[in-house]
Amino acid sequence: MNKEFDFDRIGKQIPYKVPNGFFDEITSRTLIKAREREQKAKIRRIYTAVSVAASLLIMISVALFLKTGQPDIQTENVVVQPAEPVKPLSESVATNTTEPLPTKEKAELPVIEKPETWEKLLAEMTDEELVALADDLYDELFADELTTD
Amino acid sequence: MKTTIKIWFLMAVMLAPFMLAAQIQRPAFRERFLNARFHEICTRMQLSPDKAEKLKPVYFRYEKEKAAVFVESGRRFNREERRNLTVEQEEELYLARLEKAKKLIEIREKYYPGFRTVLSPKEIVQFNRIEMELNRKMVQQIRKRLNEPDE
Repeated sequence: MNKEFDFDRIGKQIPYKVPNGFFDEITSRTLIKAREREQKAKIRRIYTAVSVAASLLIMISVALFLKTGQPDIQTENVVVQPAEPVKPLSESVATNTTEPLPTKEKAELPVIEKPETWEKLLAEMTDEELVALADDLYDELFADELTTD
Repeated sequence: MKTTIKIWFLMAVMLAPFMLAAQIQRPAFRERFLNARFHEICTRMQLSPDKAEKLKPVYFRYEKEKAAVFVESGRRFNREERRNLTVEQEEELYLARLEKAKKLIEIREKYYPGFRTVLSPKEIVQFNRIEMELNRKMVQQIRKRLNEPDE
């Protein structure tokens, strides 16, 4: 390959050609391209922010989901144990005997978790939820009034 | 346009777990609430643990059916609207309440045989009375919390 150029042979001719009006439109085209780059960068920034927010929200919601799932298991398994009627003293204590009182029955009684009270649950509700609940209760009381003497 | 669709899709994906959590959380609260109510009624009735255990599924089904009546009920007025109800709104509210009362009585009738398998007729009357008293007590408590005067 011949690396030496004979500039005399070429003369004043320019070996490269540009389309007509290339230099006239170069400023506007550069500005358009810059604007496009800026828009792409903006969209990329939005995507990054949305992805970060989505990840955070998913993590928080999973944590919340796991947290809210726990108390339900406890409450749903609560066996309602109303107060047992008190036995008369003569029935529960053997009189005139030296034998020890039977304790087996007591030992077998299941340990009962005290269920939540509705007062406590009302305290957890928002004002709007309370208004809605009161509405439902009024409806029920209205039905009660229609059916009771 | 494509970007907008993508953003909406992303937001939907983001919100999905929240909506799911909310759906799970509310029924769980209702369940806790029903448990508390049921416990209070059983305690007041001095029901035996055996009877209470048998009654529980019937009561829960009964309460869930009742809850559906409240959920499907039409328009709800907020506290502010309730203070300044027009004659038409008062009428709308009354008629809606009457309609719901009919449905509630129907449900009570439907569940009577179920309650009857566990409770005697006398106990069922007592059960309804205690439930009514409890509702009154709850309304009072709610009014107190919302700083509303008793009717």
